[in-house]
Amino acid sequence: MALIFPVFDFRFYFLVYFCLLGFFFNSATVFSEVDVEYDRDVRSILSDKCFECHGPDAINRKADLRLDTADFISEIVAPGQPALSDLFLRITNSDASERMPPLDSGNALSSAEVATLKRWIEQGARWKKHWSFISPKRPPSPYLKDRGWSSGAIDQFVLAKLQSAGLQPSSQADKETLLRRVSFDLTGLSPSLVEIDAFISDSSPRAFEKVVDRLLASPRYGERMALNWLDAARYADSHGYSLDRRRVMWPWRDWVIEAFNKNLSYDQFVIEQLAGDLLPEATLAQKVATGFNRNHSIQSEGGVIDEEYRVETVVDRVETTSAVFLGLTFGCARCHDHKYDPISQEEFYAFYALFNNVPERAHVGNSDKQADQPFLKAPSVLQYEQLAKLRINEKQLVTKIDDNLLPHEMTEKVWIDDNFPEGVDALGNGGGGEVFEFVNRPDHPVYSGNRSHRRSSQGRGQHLVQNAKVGLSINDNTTLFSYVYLDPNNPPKQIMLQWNDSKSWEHRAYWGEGKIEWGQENTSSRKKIGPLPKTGEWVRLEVEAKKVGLDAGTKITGWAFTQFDGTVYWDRSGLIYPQKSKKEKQLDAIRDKLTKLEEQVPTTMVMGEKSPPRKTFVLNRGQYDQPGEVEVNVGLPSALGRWPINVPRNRLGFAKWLVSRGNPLTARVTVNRLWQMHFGAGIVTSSEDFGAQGEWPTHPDLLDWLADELIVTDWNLKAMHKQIVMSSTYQQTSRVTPRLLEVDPMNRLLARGPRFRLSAEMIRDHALSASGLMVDRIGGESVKPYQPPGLWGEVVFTNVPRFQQDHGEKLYRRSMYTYWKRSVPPPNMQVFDAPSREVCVLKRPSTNTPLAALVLMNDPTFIETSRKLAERVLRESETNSIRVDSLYLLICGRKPKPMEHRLLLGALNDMLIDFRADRSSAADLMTVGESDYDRSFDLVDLAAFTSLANAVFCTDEAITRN
Amino acid sequence: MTTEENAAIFETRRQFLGRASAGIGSAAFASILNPRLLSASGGFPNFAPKAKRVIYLFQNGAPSQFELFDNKPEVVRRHGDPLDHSFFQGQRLTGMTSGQKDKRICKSIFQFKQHGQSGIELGETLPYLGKVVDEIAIVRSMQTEAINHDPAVTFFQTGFQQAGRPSAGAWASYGLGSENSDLPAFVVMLSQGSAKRNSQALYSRLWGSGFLPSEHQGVQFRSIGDPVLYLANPKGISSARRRRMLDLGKELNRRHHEKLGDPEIVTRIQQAEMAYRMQASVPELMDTKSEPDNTFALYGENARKPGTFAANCLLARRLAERGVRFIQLYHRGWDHHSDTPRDMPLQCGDIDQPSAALISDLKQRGMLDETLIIWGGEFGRTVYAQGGLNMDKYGRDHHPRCFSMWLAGGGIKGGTTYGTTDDFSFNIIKDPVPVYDLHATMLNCLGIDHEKLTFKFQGRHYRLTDVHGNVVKGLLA
Repeated sequence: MALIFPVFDFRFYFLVYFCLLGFFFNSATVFSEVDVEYDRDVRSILSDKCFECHGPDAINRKADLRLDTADFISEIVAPGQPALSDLFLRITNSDASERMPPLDSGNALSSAEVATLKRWIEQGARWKKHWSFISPKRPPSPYLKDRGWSSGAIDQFVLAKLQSAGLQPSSQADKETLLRRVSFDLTGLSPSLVEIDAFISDSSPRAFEKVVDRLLASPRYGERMALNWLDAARYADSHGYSLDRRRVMWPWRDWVIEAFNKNLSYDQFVIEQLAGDLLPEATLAQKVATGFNRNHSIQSEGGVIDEEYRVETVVDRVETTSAVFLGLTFGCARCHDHKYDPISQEEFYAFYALFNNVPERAHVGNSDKQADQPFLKAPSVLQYEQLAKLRINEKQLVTKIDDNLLPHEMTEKVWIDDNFPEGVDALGNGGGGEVFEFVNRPDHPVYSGNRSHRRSSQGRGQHLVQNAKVGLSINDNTTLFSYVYLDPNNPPKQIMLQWNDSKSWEHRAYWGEGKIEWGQENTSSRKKIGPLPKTGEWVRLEVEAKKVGLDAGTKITGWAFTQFDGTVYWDRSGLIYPQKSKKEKQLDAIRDKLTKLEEQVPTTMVMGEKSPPRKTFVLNRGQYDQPGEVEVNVGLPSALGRWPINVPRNRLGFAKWLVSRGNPLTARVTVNRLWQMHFGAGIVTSSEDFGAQGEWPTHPDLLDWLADELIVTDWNLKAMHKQIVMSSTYQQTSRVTPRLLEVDPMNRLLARGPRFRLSAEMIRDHALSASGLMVDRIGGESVKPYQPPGLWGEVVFTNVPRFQQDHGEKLYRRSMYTYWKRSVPPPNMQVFDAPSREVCVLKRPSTNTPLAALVLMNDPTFIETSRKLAERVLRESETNSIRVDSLYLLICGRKPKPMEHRLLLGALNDMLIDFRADRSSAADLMTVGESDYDRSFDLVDLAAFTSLANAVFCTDEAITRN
Repeated sequence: MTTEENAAIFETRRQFLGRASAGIGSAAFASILNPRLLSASGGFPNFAPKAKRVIYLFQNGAPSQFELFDNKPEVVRRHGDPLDHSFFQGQRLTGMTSGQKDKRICKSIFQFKQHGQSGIELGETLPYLGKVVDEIAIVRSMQTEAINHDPAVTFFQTGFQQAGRPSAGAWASYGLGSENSDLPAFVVMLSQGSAKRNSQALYSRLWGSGFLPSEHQGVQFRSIGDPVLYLANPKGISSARRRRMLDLGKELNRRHHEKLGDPEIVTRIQQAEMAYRMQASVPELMDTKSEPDNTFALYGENARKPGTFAANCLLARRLAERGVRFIQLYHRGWDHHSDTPRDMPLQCGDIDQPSAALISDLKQRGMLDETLIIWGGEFGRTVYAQGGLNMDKYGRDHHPRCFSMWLAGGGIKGGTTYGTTDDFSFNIIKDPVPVYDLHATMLNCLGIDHEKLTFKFQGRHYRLTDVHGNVVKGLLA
């Protein structure tokens, strides 16, 4: 058999690697005949080894020497003559105590680095500003002979580099692989069987382009693009820090999906998220968009000092905004001037001032209901439409009712007569010496029925009923009434009625003098209705419910009868209200719906501006309680450019500068991340750092060309994605030949197609969608699918709610809708490198661990989806032979090869025999996951295909886009 | 040569690389896959390690130094005296007592006793620790910068108050890798304190890997459900069936690798195999029924109850025996803003016997010398009572300026105390130990120069000790 696994001599290939590739990368490299470029080769050495003491940081600078600007060349370098250059003499001094960098710094230069510096001096010591701070200019694409392979500028740039390294591009990937690759990249999902068939059988030259257009138009596109953006924006469903309780920010998340789906131009996407609230006549959506910078964690611990965490919040905005849009790490300049990049501490605070004026507190309480200010109500599209419709109906009905002013019949509801209402607590000894009693004719006056209730009192006396289970509802225009008889021989000085609305007794009406001091005079808590009624006869007392603060919709659960001195008889008490017309009842029903719907409308946190503005000072050592004396105004680090003219000095002006030609970074940083999405690594692999410590771009001209292309196409993201995936570079096979593995193990030169593991969300979504379980509704409240028991309980604060799993369709929504609790992120996604979302993440690692294997093997989600996939192939195909092919096709996106087919069929037969002998295990397996199984199939078939599906899902191919 | 033989050779190489990538110290060959590692590699351990592993018994919520480790006769004499404002010298107070007008000095109701040859004093609620006091070094001069739990615990565990940095265990895993191919290098176990009312929260970032590759994150071993998340096969899938399923997957993977040549596929096969081995090795590890009765006599009967601190201490010993690099326990329930008289004995009842047992057990097995044990919380507590001076219910607020911890085992000088606080345990008057120094000392015991263990992220070389840290020589044997 042929040699399949190459055997390496490591040391040999190590050398080969450096000899062949060294000159492409900035690192400790051995240089061949290539020119040394300051920017690519020299600055990285100086930055890594020297800037700590001789860089932008003025305070810690030693010997007043800085090596990050051009000035040092005239001071310590003699161009062309290393032997006369102080720089070279110092780094090569044979006296270790004189040699730079100092021995104890841990920054010793390697001999290769010394050689590079020497060669640079020999070649004339030319200096250049750091590449990423120079605005990109559209480079001409290289003219190459191989026009057959290249399909456009991208391929020209890539091919030029390959040819200079003596490499050739790989052939095109097969159709199945290509379709699966582009489907995951653009929609996060594998292609359906129909889509596979359609593409395979489409032999037109535009077949692939049609697929790309279909994917870009799919609503799944917006979800897939949002996935990366949620990491960047540190989006979560909880506040983070210690209590980490629920928050609602998903209206912002839904805005992002919608923005991608409608292909909002990226410049507008940036402006609205950073400063949508400051746009003239900002729409609700534009304000919701500013939630980008409210996704930060918010403290809630009891002893927190508010200002300390408000400062952390603003710093978080600076760090996130600078990393996402500028590819720079501003955070370092919080405490001191940046060690590597030209950002002074003062410039940090000038930037900080942009985000320092939000009218916020940095502390949410220990409650799920609280959103931190500022926030607004943000109905979903559906809610918005429903609300609008109801409001129209409401308006129409109101007009009709106004036209219809007929007198109403009255409805009377008696609550207390011969008896108190059922289920109340009656109290009779509220002071005054005597308890109340029910009395009869003929010794006592009675108004209706057989009894009245009587009480004598010295001073204030009261009896009452309360805590009624079934309350008495107040309607519009309700009048409360009681019949009263004052004893002419012993009249009281004051009588009072009092009602409880289940919250308080602060609803009182009285007649006579003002002896009883409860409540506040002339408010609904103590309202005088008139003088005492005539004694010796039954009088009906009436009180408009509104006057004592009882509005329509409230319920009375208690009624109190109070007097000051005297003897008083009470009888028949209740309320009357005008009966409603049919229209009025309809109106009530609509208003009821409106109220309920409005309660459901989520809030979402947004940006806002405080007035008068908060002042910003440099914080000494970055400490919140050590502000400096000089006020800092909003501004840009001078290395990045000037604040444009005619643009306000606020977030809006800043956002407009970001997407202007004057900013060298945003377009590059953006296309680099798009590239990373499709190739697994950016052209600048440190996609979060374009500064002096970042990586040198593998294809600088391509990066600049793409950046310019993005700008000239009006920041059209879909067009950029299309351009990338239509390139031959993207469409190469990802097969790794031993030679390519030797020469370019990380595939930086792109002599083959990109191959990498799917993201956590895509892996779960793939399982859900292949099985047919996936519910594809977009947006809305986050959901809580299966997770192992007890995870929250182990860590959360005593009185913070525990995890409550959802059921039904919420188990099968796309993974991006899974509730994200920062202190306990979804465990089955965490092992596949999904971040906690506590801080901005622009590049996820891709690990390969046993814990991840366990998730695929045993998480109920992956067993349940295997079950459903088993049902699906049993239902859709006739024979086991076709079924295993279709199972494999659903999971891996291609039909198995004959050998694989035999393996699968053999394994299936073993499993069938196994489960036939053990039907109870087969039945057990069907109980994993909450969806039922289709009883029309044999348990043994179901179990065997379930195991087969799960085994295939555990393979590398299932969870990798090739 | 057959395919299988070649595969074996290839796998050997991958295992080697796999291990190398799991710990930068293993080999420079990792650079074949990632040449950038070359510059980060520091050849770990940098010098002969005194300890092979760490067992960190973290006491979440911050135990009080006044009741346990730092006896203050002057506090007893001045009990009830009000503290005037000048006393605080600008110390920040939490929002819980910054508005409390009347702050009175509060003594401990617990007596102190001398123990062992060294005669070190301990609070009366720690009788078992007293018996092994000659093995431990008490640091009375710990100091931190944070005054609230979340930032303070995050600082202790990651060297930084805000989220996002790797935990100490992840750094150790990154630097030294694992010594056991069937278990993770960094294992975490949690337990609830008996003083349940005072349970402050924990967060998985405390054992997270931050910007380090996530294979270095702590793996939580749990007492509820599966001991490791998703470890058990689902109902209906026996171990034999799982084996058959994995064999199919392995064969499909192998063929796929033949076609594509990506070494990542071989790693995938290996990780699935390790998962399968963990399905046996972890339950075996967690099953302490085979331990003889004298084990439970040593650790206490609570060690039979899964999820207790005692059970976790016993598991810590079993993990140490199996070569796990960093074993982190968290015990909750120490946040005694009130009810110290009730809750302190409850909490000490949880931890005293098992902590002491762990020391004696490791010693009798000859493993104490190679294991560094650390015990302590995230800050100290105030000399004044929070709320009133009611000796049945008194409590203390957070105090970052000084507090006590103890260390034992590999590299540590037993039977000593280090650092001195003033008469009110308010300020340190000798030998302060900032958190960074504890980290530097811990890494030193593991044979790591804390300034060399770095990782480049966002353009900067990060380390556990940031730009700080001095090894506390006075603690070392």
